[in-house]
Amino acid sequence: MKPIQFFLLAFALLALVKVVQKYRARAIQTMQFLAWVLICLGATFVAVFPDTTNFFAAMLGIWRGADLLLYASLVIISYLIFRIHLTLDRVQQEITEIVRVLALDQLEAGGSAAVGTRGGKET
Amino acid sequence: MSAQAERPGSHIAVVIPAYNEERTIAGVIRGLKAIGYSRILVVDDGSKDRTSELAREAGALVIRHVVNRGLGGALGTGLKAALLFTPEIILTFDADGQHDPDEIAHIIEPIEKGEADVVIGSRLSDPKGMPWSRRVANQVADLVTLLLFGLWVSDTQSGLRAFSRSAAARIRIMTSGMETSSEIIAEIGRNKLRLKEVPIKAIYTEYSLSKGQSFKLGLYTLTKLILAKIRRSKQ
Repeated sequence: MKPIQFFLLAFALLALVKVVQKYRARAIQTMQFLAWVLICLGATFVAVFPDTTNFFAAMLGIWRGADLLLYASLVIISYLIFRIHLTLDRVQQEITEIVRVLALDQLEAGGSAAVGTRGGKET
Repeated sequence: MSAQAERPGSHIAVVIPAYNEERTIAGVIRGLKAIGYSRILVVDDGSKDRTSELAREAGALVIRHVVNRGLGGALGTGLKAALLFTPEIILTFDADGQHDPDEIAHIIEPIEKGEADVVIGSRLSDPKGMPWSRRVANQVADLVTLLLFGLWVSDTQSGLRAFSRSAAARIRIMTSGMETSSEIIAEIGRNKLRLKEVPIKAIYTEYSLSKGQSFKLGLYTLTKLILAKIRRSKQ
């Protein structure tokens, strides 16, 4: 086994242990757990039998399995970053909503006197 | 004589979003009050200076964001708060002193005559005094707005706007930053509101220029606009 295989295997197994721990602590849902387990097992398999990736690479017209993994990683990482952007955007919007409610509460607290009675003309 | 005729500004609520504007805010409020606009609502967007205090002293109603949310956050809060006072017209006005209060009369006229639901004061009809870099940036913003939301407006980024009460109630602001200016245009299109542009002069000072968008912020705004477009199309 080459050193890189050893590192990949250790990393995949460590990730698997973490995923199981998270699931036991109910920090992730069953579907997420299964998805991560599949990813970890896939990484373990590739670490032990790296040549199998050549088969899939050849199917897509890429010479080396390692290249296929690299391309696939880039696509997946880009997608994840996009998802994080969307989530962040939603969280930002939610923070704005909270801040807005707090600000509008100041009007309820009696600030309306400064610009006249509500719904009526100037005081 | 009606109360409205005695006090020309009493049926109008002026919303001023402000972030760290202690140098100009009091002067802007006094300028508005001097010509009869007394219903002034300042949304202090989490300023770290004396913006709130000075605005209150100058006679405005001030509500404050506990943390800074950006132009859109403050505008959204301002429109919502102003609607509580049921004014006929809600006007948005920049805090940096770049607008001439005397031009408000032209801005609100199409709404008062029932010819428009929303009026935007366009600085690009007569862009004298606007630095060329700013002019290009504004035109890029207009083009992006057209591509994303399908509506051509000559000055999408203008801070001087007027809304009829019903138009303000229908406009839904979901973004928080500078991209809100374009989102408002999208909302005008979505709600099929009648839009009119009225030429205004912008007073550019070193101070007001330092407050505008930089190129980097422009790119960030563009990203946020694309995300807003994606989110809107999902709904």
